[in-house]
Amino acid sequence: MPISRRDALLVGSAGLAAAGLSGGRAAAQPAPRAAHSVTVDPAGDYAPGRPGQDYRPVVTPDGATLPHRVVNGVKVFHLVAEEVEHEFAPGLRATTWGYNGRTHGPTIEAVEGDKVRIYVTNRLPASTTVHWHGVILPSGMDGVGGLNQRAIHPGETFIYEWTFRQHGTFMYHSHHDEMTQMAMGLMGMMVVHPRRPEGPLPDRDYAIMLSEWSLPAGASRPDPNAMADFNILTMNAKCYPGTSPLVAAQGERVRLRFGNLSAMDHHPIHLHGYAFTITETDGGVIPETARHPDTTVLVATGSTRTVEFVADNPGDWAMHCHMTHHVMNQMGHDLPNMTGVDARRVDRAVGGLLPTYMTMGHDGMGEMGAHLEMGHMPIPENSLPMIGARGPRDYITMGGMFTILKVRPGLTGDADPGWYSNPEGEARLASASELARDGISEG
Amino acid sequence: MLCNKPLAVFAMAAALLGGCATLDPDQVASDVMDEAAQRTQLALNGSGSLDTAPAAVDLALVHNRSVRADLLQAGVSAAELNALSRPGNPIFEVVSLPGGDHGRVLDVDLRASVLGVAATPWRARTARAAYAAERSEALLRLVDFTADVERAWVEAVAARQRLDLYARILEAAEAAMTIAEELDAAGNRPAIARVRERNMLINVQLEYATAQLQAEAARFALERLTGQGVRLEELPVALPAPVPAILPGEDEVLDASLPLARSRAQVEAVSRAAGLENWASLLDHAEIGLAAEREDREWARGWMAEISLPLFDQGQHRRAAARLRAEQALERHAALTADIVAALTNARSVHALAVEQATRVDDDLLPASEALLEQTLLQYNAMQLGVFELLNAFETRTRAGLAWIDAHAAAHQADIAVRQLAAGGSPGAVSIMPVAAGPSADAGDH
Repeated sequence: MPISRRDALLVGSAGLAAAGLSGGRAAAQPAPRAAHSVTVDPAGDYAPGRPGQDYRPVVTPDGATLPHRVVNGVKVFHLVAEEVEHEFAPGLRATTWGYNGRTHGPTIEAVEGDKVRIYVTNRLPASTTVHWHGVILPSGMDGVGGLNQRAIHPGETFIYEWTFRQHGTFMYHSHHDEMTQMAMGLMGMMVVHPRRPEGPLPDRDYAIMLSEWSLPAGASRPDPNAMADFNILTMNAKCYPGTSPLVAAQGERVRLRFGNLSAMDHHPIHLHGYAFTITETDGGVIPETARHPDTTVLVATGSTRTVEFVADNPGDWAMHCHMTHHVMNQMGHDLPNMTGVDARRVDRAVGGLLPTYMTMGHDGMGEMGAHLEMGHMPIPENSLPMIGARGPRDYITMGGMFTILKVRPGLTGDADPGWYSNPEGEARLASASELARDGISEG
Repeated sequence: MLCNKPLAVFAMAAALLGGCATLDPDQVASDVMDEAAQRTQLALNGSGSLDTAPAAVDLALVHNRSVRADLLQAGVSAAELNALSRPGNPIFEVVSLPGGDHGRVLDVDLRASVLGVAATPWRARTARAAYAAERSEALLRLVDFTADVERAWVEAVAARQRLDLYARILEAAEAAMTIAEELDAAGNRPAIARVRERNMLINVQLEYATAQLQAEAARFALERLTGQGVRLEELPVALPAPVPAILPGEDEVLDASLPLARSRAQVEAVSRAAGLENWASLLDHAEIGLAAEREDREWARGWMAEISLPLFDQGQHRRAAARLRAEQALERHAALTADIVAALTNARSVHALAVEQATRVDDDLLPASEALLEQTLLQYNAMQLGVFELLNAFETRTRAGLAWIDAHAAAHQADIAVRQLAAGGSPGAVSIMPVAAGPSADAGDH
């Protein structure tokens, strides 16, 4: 990323030190600094960062980036809080709350040092505010209803203004009647690119908001009263099979920014096929000496985590929350445990009363999605009970907070490249000769 | 020669008084039956069965011996009326005494009670009123009987239908028990869950046993009335839809009312009896007659009169009693009129409510319980609800069926009560079972 001459003149020594540009770590050691990551002079004046020039825009899968205008050197954004007809996945829609016609709201992107002015118009039936989660800003701009400001009443427009003096991955969300408004979807990602980035830039930069919903099968409005029984777990407000895959060309550097604003849950996000490095939290860049390789990053609620890796392993790779109930869609939790019962005996007992009855769960839930796919078991309209999707080789028994990273050699663009073809001979049942060769008995 | 002019007059008067119109007692029963059929608007042709309530009535009228006895009683009353419509027979008395040389002395008297002859028209009218009351009574018993048979048929069919539904509920409870056993065998639940389910099952078994008792009681009641062996399997599997009733007006019901007709006849009878008593009490014993005496081979003729002297009892107490009985009859008549009006109001009201309730069950409860089961099945398929909730919804729908039976039985009972009143039957509060909607038992573990 080029650094403008004017920016170079304006940046102070603290910023250079934080950015690792001052000639060595030893030189930066004695200077006290804020915990958050800074590469600019806090008192400096910077030109608005330009997408594609001053930063590589982030991609929000299944989402969007909030457009802005520059007015007198200030980036002007306009968020409109309103009711949204949202689709979590094909077959499951709901009336949610969001911003600018989307749930979640579009990602706000800026560059460290940018002056921003964000108008928030409230078209909801309830008052609201917006809190800029993780952003260091003036107290009056922090968005806590009743504390920092009066709530924005329906029909009103509030103005938030500040200058970004940090970079990193942040979030925004309602801070008025949070329980209701966040449960309804009022949140979004916010990415502030460093004015002077350190290290190689990513080739693919994805922002993913993790959240959870309570939406009973057949209902069409999330239940804000839920405290424990969340049944739709989403990445950018989409649950699998509604999540779009992440794509990367083999060898590309990939950055994944996770934010979690789930009501009650943390999410250990696990990426198959790779080890990655956790590089940032919403508090700032993790010093290289503190980084470690990992395959799962725990994204606590109310925090962000950024990971990076080089996509050098081609294939289709699952990426999902490792809490098993978080990869199920609309799972019922008050069911009797039917595992191991004699289904035929139960079928006989109940089938005389209800001819279409079929015992389920006696051998697990794995067949559920396939049964539903066959269409012989009607389910409530507008529901996704434990539905996964038909994969290239069988039914994928995953839902919820699940997506797929597709890495292909020579891939260009963002389009889904389709399913990965395993090399000949991979992914098959053992042959009899192999079993015999290695002394494996199936009996 | 005994016959002389006065005697001939006496004899002619007696014959005239005795020659009043008479009723054929053997025809009375048939007439009463015809009128009952007309009043109840039932086609009574002797081809009865248990297929419908009217057919059951037909069956009962053929075979029930009590009904036949009641009809014969009407004939008995007719015969008694005929008897009372004639004057008391005169008394002929001959006294023969030894008469010495001139042969026996004969004393011949022919006399008649003055009251027995002169009061014959009054007594006949009183008897006719009494007969009218008896006939009304017989007709009333018949009309009430037809209503009783219809009621018993409705109850028996309802009881059979209830029993079928309780069998389904029992089947569901047994299925739940099977599942509980399976869960227990698989080690998926603590023992308390199975024990809880067992308790549920026992409760449902007891409910089923109660339904069996009620069905047996209803079957027996119908059997008694029809005079024929009745098996539940012979009855229809479900109650028919109630036919919309044509609700009679108050005047119509009062005009048709047999209890009221009987009461009117009784009033008339006791009033006439009171009128008769006014002079009967004074002429407690009064006889006039002819006397002839033969002595010494010569007949001496004369007349005789005999009267009790009202020295100690002038009859005022009998007259007072008769007057009070007449007043009493009037009071009872008025009370009965009020009863009938109240019963009609009650029957109309109960009918309207019962029909509304049956309509509500038809239009709302059954579809709602069906929808609940459908939605529960969808939620079960979606693994949002378990099999116990599914069985619970099945039970709810089945119990809605019980509510349907109760509501329709109530509508039928109310309809029968209204038609009974319109046919002139007995008034009485319409007694119907409360409609029990929804599961009565706790869902237990499920």
